[in-house]
Amino acid sequence: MDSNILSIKNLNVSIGDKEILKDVTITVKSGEVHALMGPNGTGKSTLAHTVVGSVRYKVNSGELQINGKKLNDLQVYERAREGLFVAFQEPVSVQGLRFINYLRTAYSSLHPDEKLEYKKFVEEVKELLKYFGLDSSFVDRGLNEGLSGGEKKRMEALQMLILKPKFIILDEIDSGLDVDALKVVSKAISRAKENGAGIIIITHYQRILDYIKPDFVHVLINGRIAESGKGDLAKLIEERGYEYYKGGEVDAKIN
Amino acid sequence: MNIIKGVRWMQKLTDEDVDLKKLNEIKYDFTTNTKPVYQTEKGISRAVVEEISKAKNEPDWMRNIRLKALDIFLSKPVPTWGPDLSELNFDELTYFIRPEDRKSNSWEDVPKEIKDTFDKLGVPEMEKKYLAGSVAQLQSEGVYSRLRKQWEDRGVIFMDMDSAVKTHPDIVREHFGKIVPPSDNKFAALNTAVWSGGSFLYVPSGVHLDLPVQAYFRMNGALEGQFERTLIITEPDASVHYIEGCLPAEELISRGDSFVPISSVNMSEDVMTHSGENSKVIRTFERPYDGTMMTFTPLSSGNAFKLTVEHPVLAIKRKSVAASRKLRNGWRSEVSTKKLISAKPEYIRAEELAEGDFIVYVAPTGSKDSKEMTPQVLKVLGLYTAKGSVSFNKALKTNVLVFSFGKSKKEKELATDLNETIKSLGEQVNITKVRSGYYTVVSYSKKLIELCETHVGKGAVQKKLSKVLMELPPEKQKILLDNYLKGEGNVYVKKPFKSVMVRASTTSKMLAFQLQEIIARNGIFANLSIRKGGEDTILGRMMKRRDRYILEYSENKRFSQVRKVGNNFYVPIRKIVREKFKDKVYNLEVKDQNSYLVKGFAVHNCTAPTYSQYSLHAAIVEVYVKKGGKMRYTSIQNWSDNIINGPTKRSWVEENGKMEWVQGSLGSKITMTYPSSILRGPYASTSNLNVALGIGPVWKDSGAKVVHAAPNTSSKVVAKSISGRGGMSVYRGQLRINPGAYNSKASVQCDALILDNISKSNTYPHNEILEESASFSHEASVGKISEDQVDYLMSRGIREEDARSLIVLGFLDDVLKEIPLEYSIEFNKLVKLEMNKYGAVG
Repeated sequence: MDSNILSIKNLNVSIGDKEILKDVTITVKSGEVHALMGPNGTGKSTLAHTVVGSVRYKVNSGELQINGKKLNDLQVYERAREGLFVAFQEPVSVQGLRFINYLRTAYSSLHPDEKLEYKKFVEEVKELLKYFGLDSSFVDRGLNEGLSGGEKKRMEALQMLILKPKFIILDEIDSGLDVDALKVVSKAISRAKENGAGIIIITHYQRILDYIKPDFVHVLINGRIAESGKGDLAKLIEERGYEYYKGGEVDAKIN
Repeated sequence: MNIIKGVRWMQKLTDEDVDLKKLNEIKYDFTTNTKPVYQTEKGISRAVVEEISKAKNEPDWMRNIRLKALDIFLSKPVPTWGPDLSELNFDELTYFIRPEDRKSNSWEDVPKEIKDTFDKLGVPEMEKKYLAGSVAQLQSEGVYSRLRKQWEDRGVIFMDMDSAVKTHPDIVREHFGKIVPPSDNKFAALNTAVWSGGSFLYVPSGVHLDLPVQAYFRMNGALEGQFERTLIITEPDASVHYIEGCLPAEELISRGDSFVPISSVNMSEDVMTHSGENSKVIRTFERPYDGTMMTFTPLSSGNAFKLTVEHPVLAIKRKSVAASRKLRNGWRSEVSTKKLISAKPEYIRAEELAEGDFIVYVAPTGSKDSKEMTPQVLKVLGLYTAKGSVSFNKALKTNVLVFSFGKSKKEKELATDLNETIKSLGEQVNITKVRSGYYTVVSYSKKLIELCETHVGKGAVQKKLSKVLMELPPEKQKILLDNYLKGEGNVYVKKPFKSVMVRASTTSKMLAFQLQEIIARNGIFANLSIRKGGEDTILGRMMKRRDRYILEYSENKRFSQVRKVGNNFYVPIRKIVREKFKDKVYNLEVKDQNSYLVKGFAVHNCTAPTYSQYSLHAAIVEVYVKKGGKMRYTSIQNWSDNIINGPTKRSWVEENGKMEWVQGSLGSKITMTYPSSILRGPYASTSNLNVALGIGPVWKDSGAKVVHAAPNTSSKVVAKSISGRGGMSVYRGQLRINPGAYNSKASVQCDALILDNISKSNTYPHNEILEESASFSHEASVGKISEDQVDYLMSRGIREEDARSLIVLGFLDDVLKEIPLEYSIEFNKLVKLEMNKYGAVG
């Protein structure tokens, strides 16, 4: 298995004048699953978007690195080419952009040295659609066009498998999924882990962690990591509730 | 027929250069370095119009039509309801330049920017020169002229408009200017007065035309004058349609040294062509297909291949080479060998071929000798191909090369001979007699093992001859072949003619096709057949058998149904099967030769013309679709941004007729085009797909006009526009359902995509529904590319400009999938080019 390291070092991020993330540090290695938990509006999604490289999020200080290479000044697509993949909480849709054409373009962009055999690729995608309980006609459908929330999430998980990234950040992949879908998505995450990806699962609830056991858990409160620990910390959080970290008060809305 | 060789490449200028006043100065810019051309004075007058008519040697009736139109032109004001045309000065234009004076520009004179655009689009060299006017005819002209002959036989008239006026005055006079009268608008009047060039197409009752017409039509019509005139008449139940031939994904294409599935062939790779020489693949095509697929099984059944019904195959019709004597042996009509070997194969559409017709197997001609391949080495390799294998000896931890022979005396001799040959090459080797008397020749020589693996491969199923071997001169390949046959084949003499039959079989498909090619290079066509594998129970044990490929030929057979001419073998088709097929199909475009080989047999390449330049300036297109006729008219214009493009296109559709307009507009400073259909007969229908790309300082004013003037007529309009970098896109539509057009149906959909904050889009639909029983729907949308969409695509590794192109193409998808493949590919590329420019600015 490759041994890659994604490090988020002392990251401070703001949107406009508002400081969202404060001094966040997380280090993820190949094959590790990290859970980033916390109440709503505490900056979890901000972390995902910042790592992606969205221009709306301003990094005031701190560094993002993959295997020691600094990502801060790289464009969004360049970061992806370093092996980063984010499954979005609310994936956009693009009318008429056929899923398979999009995916093929993405794959070739990410793996320029590989010769993509179109027919095989399509078969592989169809197989995965079946795996996720989605209709094979989705290959020719416009990207996320007319899909339900749950279907979109499964499509994100599908891309996570097919694009073979080194690091995966799943932003509330569990929201909007029923139990069956949650199971299959969890299985997919395990598959990605087995393939050697380092994974951060961003979630509000403990639910998904019943199906995929994290190696590490971080609690994000008010933009700060309040506690980091081994996998069993998740259970503890479930018992204590997030109030534990705030002395009973949770500042629910930050942005 | 005259082919007009007019050149009208407008120079592509930068935005700052665009100035309508300069329009006249840059026109025909290429010709400035050549001799003075014949042209009329600037401006328009009665004298100018008469001069044009005289120069063309026209009949009086046409001159009168022109003069009447001139009066109308002078009396009409310049339209003011659309884009600003005030800078257009009719007195500053030159209206006529004799076509023959416009040709023959040297390629060196073509502006670099145009050359660059060609390069970006990947236009083949020959076509570039044609488009730029530096050669008169396309190389593929030969194919088209044969096809043209076929149309002529069916009564189709297809020629340039000037010639049609003289040779078919009755048809032209009856239809000219009837759908678009000069009184229609100022531009129509101008065109009628000074028109020159254009095409005339007449399709008689019941005739159906397809791809070649359109392809040729486009080539021919692409570069004509500024005021061209097109008249198309489809008589009752005739149709003009576009289809394109293709092959299924797994069909094997010859590269000369190997055979590969068509779906895996990439651009700029080499494939073998009908000439016996390799040529580059310029482009690959892929599209979904739902229709009939034909399987051609030649006499040699192992070479059976599939293609779609329209695909042209190099062939000779049996009928054309029939002997004068009567039927014999019950086997179709007898063929005259003399006629057959002097016949010239032509490209004939698959569906027009019958069992018994001849198709052409091509033996590659080129060769490249290799010093390394001595007769001794070839002997070893030949026997290795038949008998050899390389395995890993675990005890010794090294690779071992083993040749396994039988126990007969002949086999012993062969083994001994091989042993000696290897020794003579200076390599260590042993011969042993193993269990129950079988002979084996064993070597541990690294050099020898590498040689065998490199040139023949490892396992029996994967055996494949190397490029070096496949390119050897035929006489050297013969040594390899003979030794292979000694090991694998059997030779027997067949009575009563004492013909020597040779037979060999292999489990490697690739090897079978390669050997067939080697035998062909040695002048003999070997029959290839397949014995299907499967499961069998032999003596109570389950056995799995692989497919076996069997090659058979005779060296001195007196009768054969195959004839050799040069490096070609004319092989009769034994069987043709048609079946339903629904999957992706593929095609290639091959440089210069325009052909490739399917399992060794020659077929035509994709005839799709590449650079779409079917452009109209102030042209008129009149289309008559008579009862039950069908017409699809596709035009993609990409004028440089100093051009005003205002064609008038109109069709007249009678009972049950169908008119389809497909229009793409990318370039030009101002475009004003509204193809219209007048539905005159009951159940007449029309569709109008319109894509306008208004990027940069341009105004795209386009749309559709439909008049429902009979009951049960239907129409569908889909318009898509894109505005960017300050561009303006306007949809201007007119739809009228007359009283009494009972139960007519109409739908209009117009979508606009705006790329930034400085560009605009407007929609002016004008709908008059005067019949109560009619149904009508109108949908319109205006959208913008969101930064979230761009971010999302970029987060998957896609560059920003590519992300924007993907979004734009997605927006156009429902129109692009409706238009013929090669147009949509072209469109795709042009959109990407435009968007790349966009990325550079934004």
